[in-house]
Amino acid sequence: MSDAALIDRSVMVVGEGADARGAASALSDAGYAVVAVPHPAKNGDGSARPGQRIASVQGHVGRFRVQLEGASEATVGVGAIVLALGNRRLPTDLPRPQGTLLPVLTPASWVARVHDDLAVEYRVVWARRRVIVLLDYPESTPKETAAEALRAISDVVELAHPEVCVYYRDLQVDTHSLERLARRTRELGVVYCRYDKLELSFEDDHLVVSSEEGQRVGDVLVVAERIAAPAAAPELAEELGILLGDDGLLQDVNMRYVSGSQTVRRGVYVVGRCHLDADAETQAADLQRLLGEIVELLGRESLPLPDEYADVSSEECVRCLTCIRTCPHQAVELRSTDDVTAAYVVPEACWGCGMCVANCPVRAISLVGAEHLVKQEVV
Amino acid sequence: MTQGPDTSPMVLIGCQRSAGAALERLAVEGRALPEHVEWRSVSCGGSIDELMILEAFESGAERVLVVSCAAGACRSVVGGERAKARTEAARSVLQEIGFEEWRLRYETMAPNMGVDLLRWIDELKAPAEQSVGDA
Repeated sequence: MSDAALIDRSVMVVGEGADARGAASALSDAGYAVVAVPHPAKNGDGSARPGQRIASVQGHVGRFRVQLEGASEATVGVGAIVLALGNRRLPTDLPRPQGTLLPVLTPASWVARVHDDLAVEYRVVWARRRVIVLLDYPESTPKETAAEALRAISDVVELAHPEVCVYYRDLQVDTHSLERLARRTRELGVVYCRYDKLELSFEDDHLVVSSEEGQRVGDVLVVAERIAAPAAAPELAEELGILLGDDGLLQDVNMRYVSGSQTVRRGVYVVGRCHLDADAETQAADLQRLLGEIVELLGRESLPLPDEYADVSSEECVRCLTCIRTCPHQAVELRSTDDVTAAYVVPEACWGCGMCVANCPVRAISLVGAEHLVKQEVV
Repeated sequence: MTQGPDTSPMVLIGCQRSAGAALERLAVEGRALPEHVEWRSVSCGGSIDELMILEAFESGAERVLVVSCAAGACRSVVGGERAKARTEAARSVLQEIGFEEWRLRYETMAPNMGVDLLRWIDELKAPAEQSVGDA
């Protein structure tokens, strides 16, 4: 039987940066009690930094029980958990000799510098400058940062008309926005050079870039920043049973029927730059989407039941725990009722994938609501 | 000589979020599965097991096509991988009892790959030198 009546309508926001503050503020404004947990990343030697941390998470959507440690120890009940850890932007390391006068800028600081200079009428100076933009140096540039760099190039060339050459190795222009940006910059006269090997040699106030396509001299070097995943992401992903991408960022379930903040564990959401590094407008839309999902989840009398969910026959269950191990959504637990201990699928946490049904060695699990699926006629 | 279409009974087992969605899209375009293909929908590729595949053959299918979401696109993370493993397990059972390998095929797809799905159905037939009745 479902415990739908026992929904906790407070939300835990995890993170200590601007993303967490923004999410906490928006949820609070929407009328939800917010429990803020900074969960600072551990130091390099494994020692804890000051601040409350999540020690363990029990329970399911609508009624999570979170054990906190750190400044004070407590167990907190919340209905949903929002991870807003942010990320870190790091300057790309360049083998640059000490004392060189060559300006090395990030895309954002380049735009700011051009605007500052134009304010004191340095248009002519920028029109004479030869700007080298390095993408994929030394390894690869995240797509979001590449888009940011192309947008910066477009803005600056339209404003100040410098000569710009973009060096890239793996940049794939495979989204509409990137394609539009790349086309726009090409129309503005920006040159693109693909390289396999690149050598940079720095002089006093300029650099020489050597690639398979020859040499080019630049007066300004613009390098896309690296995005580093939040250091606390792996341990939180493991504790909560959610996905971590190859890039170290937390992953939502980005599939049809599922929104962009929900993770594989129902009731656990990711928001902001810990899963999506994008411009301010996209980040704002991401936060609005999260708010909509929280309202959809906790703004009801009871938790929404999925169309299909697994149900375990406690008489047939042999307590092998296979279903608990195989459930990708952390929806199965062991429960004891009337002296019978058996696996129990929490309906509100179940996604109805049927993986436990297929893996149960004694066929003790059935999929409620899925009777219409097999042998369905397509109209 | 070119082989004609194989119209022997066939079962298509697939995830409702990839194959099911693709069939819905095809229906909007006025296209549908051939009459000899029976569609068996599951909520996720992870719920497909060997028994389901063997039952399809037992119910009279000459060929079975199993489709699920691609790796990384499964809503339940590992559904596609499990479907593939179960299909391979069923294939080894079928081979033991003398079924040819070509009669069972596994593919991954996205909802916009309805045309590919129809092509796989068309392609799933005995190799040119072997007729369907040779089993």
